[in-house]
Amino acid sequence: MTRSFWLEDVPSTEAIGKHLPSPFNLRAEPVREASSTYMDSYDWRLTTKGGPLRIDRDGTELLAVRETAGGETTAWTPVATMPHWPQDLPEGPLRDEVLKASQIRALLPVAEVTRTIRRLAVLNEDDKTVVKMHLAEADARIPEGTPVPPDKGRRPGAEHGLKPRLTLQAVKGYDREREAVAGALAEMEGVRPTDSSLLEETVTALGRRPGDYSSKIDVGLQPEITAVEAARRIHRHLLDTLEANVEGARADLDSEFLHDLRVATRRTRSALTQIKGVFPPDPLTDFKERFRWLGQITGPTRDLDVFLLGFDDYRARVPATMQGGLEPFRAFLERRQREEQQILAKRLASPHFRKLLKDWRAFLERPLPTHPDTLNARRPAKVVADERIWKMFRRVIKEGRAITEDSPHEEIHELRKSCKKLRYLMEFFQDLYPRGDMQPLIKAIKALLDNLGEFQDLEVHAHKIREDAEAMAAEGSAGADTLMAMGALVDDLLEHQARVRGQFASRFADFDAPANCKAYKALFKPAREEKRA
Amino acid sequence: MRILGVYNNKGGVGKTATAVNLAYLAARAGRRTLVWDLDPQAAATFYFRIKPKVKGTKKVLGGKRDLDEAIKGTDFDNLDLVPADFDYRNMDLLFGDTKKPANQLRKRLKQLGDDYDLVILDCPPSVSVVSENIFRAADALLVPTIPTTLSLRTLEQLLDFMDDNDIRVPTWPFFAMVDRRKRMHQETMAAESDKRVLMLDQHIPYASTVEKMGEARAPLFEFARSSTAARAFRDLWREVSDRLED
Repeated sequence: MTRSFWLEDVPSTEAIGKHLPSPFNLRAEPVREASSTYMDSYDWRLTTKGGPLRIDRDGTELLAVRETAGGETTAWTPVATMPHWPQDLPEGPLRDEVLKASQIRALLPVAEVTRTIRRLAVLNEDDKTVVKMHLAEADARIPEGTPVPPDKGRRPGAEHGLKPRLTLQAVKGYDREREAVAGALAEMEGVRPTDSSLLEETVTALGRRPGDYSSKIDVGLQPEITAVEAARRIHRHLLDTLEANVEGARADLDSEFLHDLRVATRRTRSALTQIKGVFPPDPLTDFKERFRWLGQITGPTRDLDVFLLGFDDYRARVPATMQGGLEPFRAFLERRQREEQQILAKRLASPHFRKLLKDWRAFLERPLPTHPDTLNARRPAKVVADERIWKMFRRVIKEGRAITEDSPHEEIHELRKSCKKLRYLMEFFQDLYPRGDMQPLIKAIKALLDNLGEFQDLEVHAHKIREDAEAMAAEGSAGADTLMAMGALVDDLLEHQARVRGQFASRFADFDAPANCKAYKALFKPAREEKRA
Repeated sequence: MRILGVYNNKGGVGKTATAVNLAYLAARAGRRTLVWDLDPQAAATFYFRIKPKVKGTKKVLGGKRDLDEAIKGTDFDNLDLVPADFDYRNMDLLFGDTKKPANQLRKRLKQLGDDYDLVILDCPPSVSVVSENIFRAADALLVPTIPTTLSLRTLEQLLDFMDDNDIRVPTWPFFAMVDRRKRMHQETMAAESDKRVLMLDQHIPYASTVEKMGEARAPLFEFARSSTAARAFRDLWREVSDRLED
């Protein structure tokens, strides 16, 4: 256990020595320069699940350390180079921990701290070290090149001084001595005990907060606001998320930047059509079209990302003797991904894209007209939300009940679209309803969407593999064994799709259960008198 | 967690110097290392400037929390110590009370779990329930041996005792306190190297710097890092750590 103090000024060794109770003495040890880099995924998966990864640099040696938010080390290992992925860490408990928390996300250098540490040993009457004292003066910065969400965090590269800090490190078995020293120090002028860890202090000084980026919808609506104000806030929130992912998606730091950017785009498009009658139709049509374009240009790269992320699972789906035959397909996908990524990067840097974000931001932030001429703008957000959600729920039920075992695939796809609209609407407006009521409903629609999504993905992928096989055959990059393995994979995917289709009826029945329907009715069904004439 | 015993039935063979200096090198190499000073003479405890306990063995043998509470950090990173306890004189009696007296030490150490990579036991010079505990707890036993006929006889006796009692701990004797000026040392070592492969390759020379550890109250490397003896301990550690990894 450590005890920390903030210092107004850095005291001399003598000044500290004078304050120590008998029989303690101080011995100065060589000053050390230390530099550490805190690493985490863009969405803080490590910090929010136990603690970030810290890379300590000592000369040319690098040490990777996982520590809790409170600063306790849980695992460490020497590393040869700065890791970019959890998989870059040497095999062992640290790598397992980091991989489990970060999963498919890359490790980014969130903050760099350089410290000049004056070390003092507190000795007892045997000249045995009983407490280790560190006086540290530190500078922190966000490393250049680290993506930072807009308006969160200071400019990368700029140095920020931290308050001088004195830390007492316990030597095991000498807690009593540490407490005596801590007590004496607390009496000194300009010395203030603190519970905040170096990590917390660093992150705060750099204007960031663990969790300041998350792809989850968290708008923070109040019940009394108007529908147009709610819509503006929802859209601003989605735009923030979208913008926060542009840099990482352009640089392809990991596949989740583009994924989150696409989800924000899709939600924006959904909100534009689903929160009806709040914006004037004129700019609305234009923005709908432009966001559709954004969905289109980001599609190809994302499709390839999904393929590559799931490739090992696909490999495992074909017989062992055929698995090797899929490797040229992987190489093909990787090449295609690089090509599409380049095109995407250009488009995300284009004036066309920049202008879309700028125009949209300006539209969302311009003052509201005093007399909006749209139907719903001035009505309470909750009333409009009730209507929209209730309507979409009834559509989902109607479409779902109409699906039989012989229904064409298109009907399933249509139902999926309606379900997504319903889910997004509930997520947009969730703050207006009791959390305990809303969470189970969102969970239930997600469960149904999982089934529908898997059904569609399998179909799309099977179709794509056939196309890719033709393309590979045409360019001569696939031999017979590759084409056969791809054929076997398509067969397996379609078989699997049929199984997923078979599960639909029971998944939908779960959603259509009386309890779920009753909950929707109770929460969203508009009262008659509130209905518009 | 690997457990290394340092043992010899005879006293004054450089046993504690071996335990302390190897522990220091292990800790420097990044292994979380614990020295358990089981010798009531408390030499290892003294070298680390830690105070021996006057009583408390009964508590230590009671469970993990008690052992953990007895541990003291040394002045060196990664290196902790269970201080000697004058009550170890009564340890034979204590172990004698328990159901399986010969496995008590191993049981206590296992309870430390993943806290340490290496535990070095500095053992008292005796053949007793305590030493049997040490033999059964250890993954390997280092036996510093002076190259004299008499010392080799003691080593034979130790090996016989282990055979008789079905103790199968790998035993790694090495020559210690070697004085090249003494003909007997030279002859014994030469004869031994012809005869058996039992002894480790490295040996520790007799050196006054090792004796100065008592004055400096520190491992050799803290005050005589480039001495011949320091070099010999480094070589010995390399050989021992290679063997521990096998």
